[in-house]
Amino acid sequence: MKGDILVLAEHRNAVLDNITWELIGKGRSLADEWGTRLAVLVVGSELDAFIESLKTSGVDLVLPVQHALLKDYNSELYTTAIYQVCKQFSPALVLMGYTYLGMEIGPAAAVRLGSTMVSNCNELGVEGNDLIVVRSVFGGTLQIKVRLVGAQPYLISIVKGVQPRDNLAAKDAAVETLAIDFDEKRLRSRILEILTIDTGGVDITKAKVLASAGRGIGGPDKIPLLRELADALEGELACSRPVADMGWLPIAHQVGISASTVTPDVYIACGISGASQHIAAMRDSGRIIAINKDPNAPIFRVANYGIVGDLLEVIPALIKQAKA
Amino acid sequence: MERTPYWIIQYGIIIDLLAIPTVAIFGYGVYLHWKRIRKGETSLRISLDDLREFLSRDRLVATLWNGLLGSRVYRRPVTGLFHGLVFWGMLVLFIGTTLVLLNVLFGLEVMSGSFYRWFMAFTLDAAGIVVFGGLGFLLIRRLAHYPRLSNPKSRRGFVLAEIFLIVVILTGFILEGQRIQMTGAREPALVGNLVAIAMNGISVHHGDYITLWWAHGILALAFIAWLPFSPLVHLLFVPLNAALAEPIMGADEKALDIAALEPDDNGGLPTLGTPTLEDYSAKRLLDFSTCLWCGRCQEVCPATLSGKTLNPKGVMVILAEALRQRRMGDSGIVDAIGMPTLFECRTCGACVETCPAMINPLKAIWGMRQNLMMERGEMPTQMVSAYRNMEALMHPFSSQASPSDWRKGLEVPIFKAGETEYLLWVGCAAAYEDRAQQVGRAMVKLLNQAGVSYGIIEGARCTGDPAKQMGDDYLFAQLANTNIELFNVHQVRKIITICPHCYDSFQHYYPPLGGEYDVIPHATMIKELIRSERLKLACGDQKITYHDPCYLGRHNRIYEDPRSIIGSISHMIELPRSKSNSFCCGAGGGNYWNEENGQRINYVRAQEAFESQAGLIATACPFCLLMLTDGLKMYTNEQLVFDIAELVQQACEKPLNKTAE
Amino acid sequence: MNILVCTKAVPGFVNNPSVPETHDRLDYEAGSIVINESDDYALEAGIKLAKKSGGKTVVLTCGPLSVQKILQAGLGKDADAALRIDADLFEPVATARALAAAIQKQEYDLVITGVESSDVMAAQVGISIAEMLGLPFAYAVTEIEPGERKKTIRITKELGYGKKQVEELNLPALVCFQTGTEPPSFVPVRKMMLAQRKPIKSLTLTELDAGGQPPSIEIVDIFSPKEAGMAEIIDGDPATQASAVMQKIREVL
Repeated sequence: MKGDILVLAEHRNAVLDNITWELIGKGRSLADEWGTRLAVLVVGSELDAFIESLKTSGVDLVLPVQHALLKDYNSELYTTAIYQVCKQFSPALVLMGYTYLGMEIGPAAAVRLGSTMVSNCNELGVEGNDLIVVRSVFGGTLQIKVRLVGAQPYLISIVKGVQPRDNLAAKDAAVETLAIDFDEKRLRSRILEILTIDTGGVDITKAKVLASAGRGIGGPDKIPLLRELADALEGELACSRPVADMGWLPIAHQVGISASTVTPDVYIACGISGASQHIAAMRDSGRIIAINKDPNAPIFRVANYGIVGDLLEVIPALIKQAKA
Repeated sequence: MERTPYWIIQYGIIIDLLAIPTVAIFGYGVYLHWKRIRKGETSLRISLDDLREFLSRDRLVATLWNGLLGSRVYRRPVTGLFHGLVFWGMLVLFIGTTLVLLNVLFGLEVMSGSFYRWFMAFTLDAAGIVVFGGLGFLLIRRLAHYPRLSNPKSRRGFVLAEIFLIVVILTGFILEGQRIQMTGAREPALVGNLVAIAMNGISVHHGDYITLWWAHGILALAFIAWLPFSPLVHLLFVPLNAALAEPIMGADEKALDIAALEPDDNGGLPTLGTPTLEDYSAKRLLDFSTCLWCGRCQEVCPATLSGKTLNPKGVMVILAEALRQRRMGDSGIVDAIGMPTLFECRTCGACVETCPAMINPLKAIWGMRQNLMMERGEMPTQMVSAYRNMEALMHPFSSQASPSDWRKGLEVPIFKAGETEYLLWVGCAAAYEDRAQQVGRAMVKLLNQAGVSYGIIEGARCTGDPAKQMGDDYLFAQLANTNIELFNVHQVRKIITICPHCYDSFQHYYPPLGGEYDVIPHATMIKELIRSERLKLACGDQKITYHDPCYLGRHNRIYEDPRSIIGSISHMIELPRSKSNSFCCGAGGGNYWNEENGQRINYVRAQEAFESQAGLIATACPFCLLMLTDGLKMYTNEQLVFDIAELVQQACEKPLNKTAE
Repeated sequence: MNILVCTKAVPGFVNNPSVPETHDRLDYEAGSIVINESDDYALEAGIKLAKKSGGKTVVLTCGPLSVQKILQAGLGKDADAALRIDADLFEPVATARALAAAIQKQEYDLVITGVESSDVMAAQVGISIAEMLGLPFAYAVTEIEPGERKKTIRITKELGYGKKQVEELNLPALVCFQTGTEPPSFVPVRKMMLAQRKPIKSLTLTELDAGGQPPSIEIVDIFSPKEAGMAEIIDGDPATQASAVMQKIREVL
């Protein structure tokens, strides 16, 4: 197979999400291999800044879909946008993230296009004439290699944080605004409000150092110990989802794809096993140190340094060192 | 000298005739109990095996020792003393009265000569004062609201009984004193003589004497007639309860009859568990009728002692009152106790072990728990995850790890049908819990060293015991049947277990499902390997203390094998609460996976172990190991808790010596 | 509100996985068959909603007879009826087609599915069904209520990054219900036994006219993931380890 490639950009809070660069990187290498075009689709109501940065990202073409209706994220409108862009641009391959966005509108777009979607992929490549992906099954304990043989375009969603995010050689991309008919009158969903977690003044996304508590610390009575560590390093406390659910820490401290994504200089994961929703939200940290008694914990695959041991012995030693 | 019975009492024989209505009323009282108890479930199949077991030496000894002689009462020395005074004193007095009756009816020579002087006069007087003293203590203690007796409730009828009997004895002494004064008899009746002297100067009319005599007699007979309506009915019930005591103190050893679970045409199903009194066995109802609310069970229950809502006496009070009020079909008893409370039971069996009346509160609790699980679908939220893991992963832990992770890097033989002698069953804790995996590895090394013919079955996970502990016999049966099929395919005959819960399940609960094996706990195996010198170890001087796991010790009476092992490798010191009096680690009854209220049981036990000043703390159960290790972190950073397999394995390499300070 | 819940039976754990000659599925020995966790949350949410609004719940699955027990568990949780599509499918789009065909024959207001199955992990079936039936949809929904206007529902869904969005959807609609934190209840033996007596309708793909599409993927191989990018493990006693780690931390601060 070969053909043009379309990347679905993601953004929030006026910033493009890192997945965009990962997808563009992957798309670029494939487009170069095939000698075809790489385009990026960005949807929203205020896109000027995005268009500027995407123009020099290494793509050949930027396809903005800008409309006042798109101020808030509406799955119907986004699905319509992708569908109509695909009809007009006719890519052979569409790349998106295995994210809330990709999970919600990817399958709908694939069905509407009458084409094939394969989701949750770690790797993507070409073997002979066929597109091949590697994706997880059985809770991630195994992976399968899959060849795509169905109708194109192929919609592939890729796990965030797996593909590299190198800076690509900038091409001065063209910008083409395609006409999209949103058929507003036939919308069957309305956005009523947007809720944000009440952080109570805590913003872990701004901290340079995070001492993060997982269920493995043993109980809420161990939180003060972690706080001591955070304070000694002039950082902030964070935690995994179970810890927030159990109320050991407020949800403002939760690191996870449904809560906060963080990129501190130092992330110390204490008693965190490393569920994928957690890893996805902290893997971009500068230096990741994991402390866990289980040597098989998945966190050790994403950490830079690991200590297999008893938290209650290691953390006091760390605090001592930090204060020294 | 000779004493004339009835002396100046005319028609004294009437008092003996009054025995007839007395016995009738007494019988009626017993009948009322029988009517209630009979409503419980009974299995009337009595096979020759059952009869043989029933008349076994163990059971006869237990009936005599625990039932008739009430040996357990004496475990509390002070209470034992005074209760003993009352009981033995009354027994002597009863013999005395019977002898008088025999004298009257058949002329038995007891009222004259040395026998009269030294038994009928002296001994009976002594018995009377002894009983009086005993009753005085018991009455004062009860009126002073002695905690064990009065919390959560004091049993009615004791005060009345004690006062009643005191009056009977007092009137008896007064009569004796009057008689001695009036007849001038010279006999070594100490109290009688004292009373006579005290009454010197008070002239006693015959009429007074006669009135008092009849009062005393009728009171005494009334007391006997009233006995089955009072707590003193335990005189009959305790020996009976001892005779009928079940050999296994935990859940009943019968398989859930899955075929019987098919709803009938009306959509009806047999009741699962015991939501009402009628669902209990007759033996349980006998328990509730026998219970004296003495409160010793609440004094040993780890849940009660650590401030939780469960109190075995509290449970018995609710059930006994429901029984007394004939609320046989009232399913409110479960909610009167409450689901969270019923799940606080660790199933440790301390209550069963301590009860002087041979009652089993544990089985009563277990029945209600089974009902909550299998009919009402209620259990503490925290435990639900472990339950669902049992359904999905066939073990209770959240780990997605494979069942072979525990033996990574270790040479472990695989069981071959027809060739291997022993199946080594590591159990779920040693397979999936990090710290406990070391126990499995140590055991493998020991068995390899000793050249034992053993192997493991790959993919083995869990016996299903946690499901049973939680109260779900159905899920237990599912897992057990899977394992039994696996064992049959492999022709397994003998199993070595590392965990006493696995041992207990294989030993008692697999046979009703068709899985009969020779089960050997690893303590027994290791002891034997040491004794036969297949393991060579060095003896050290470290002080080692041993925590008896509930399911190896109390439930299965294996106390000496681990001690023998420790004796071979070093020097053993006992914990304050050890052997059958051991204090639970807190993990039982599925509570390893539950949130804990109040003080943590494992902290309590860990403190006890730590304060023993032992250099090492040994145990023979992976759950005890995990709980004590966690608990000990409150007191020290050192790792002091080890399984006996680990200690023996260490001793095979070098002696366990005290660490140099 | 009448509610349909789509559920999937998944293995608790697998032994000896392999790819068969047909390359259209995965073969394995399943240790146990249970309802997909995410679908269990969907089921409980659906039953609760139906009860509150006085409607009925039907629980559906697409699978062979051996997975019937998850439907019985659904009936044990007080679903009113159950329906099985007799097919053993792997591809999400094929499953979605089968379920959509069955759903089309039912009277319903709302379809609820889970967010992702633990075996195939595609997170595609729910949304695909919605699009095939032309329904408005929402993903990662955490709350569902009847809407203020007639024939609508009000849902809260996760957007990620600590944000949630409240939307109003016209009925009929489809939502993918997010996994919660308190585990769903278990079905006690009694309810399971009673549920096993209830008949469960089954339909074939032929009856639904939903089969026979050519596969869109071929499974080539199955393997364990590479242990890529393992952390550098620092050994020693806690003091040594702490010292080494602090050095690494100071390098970047």
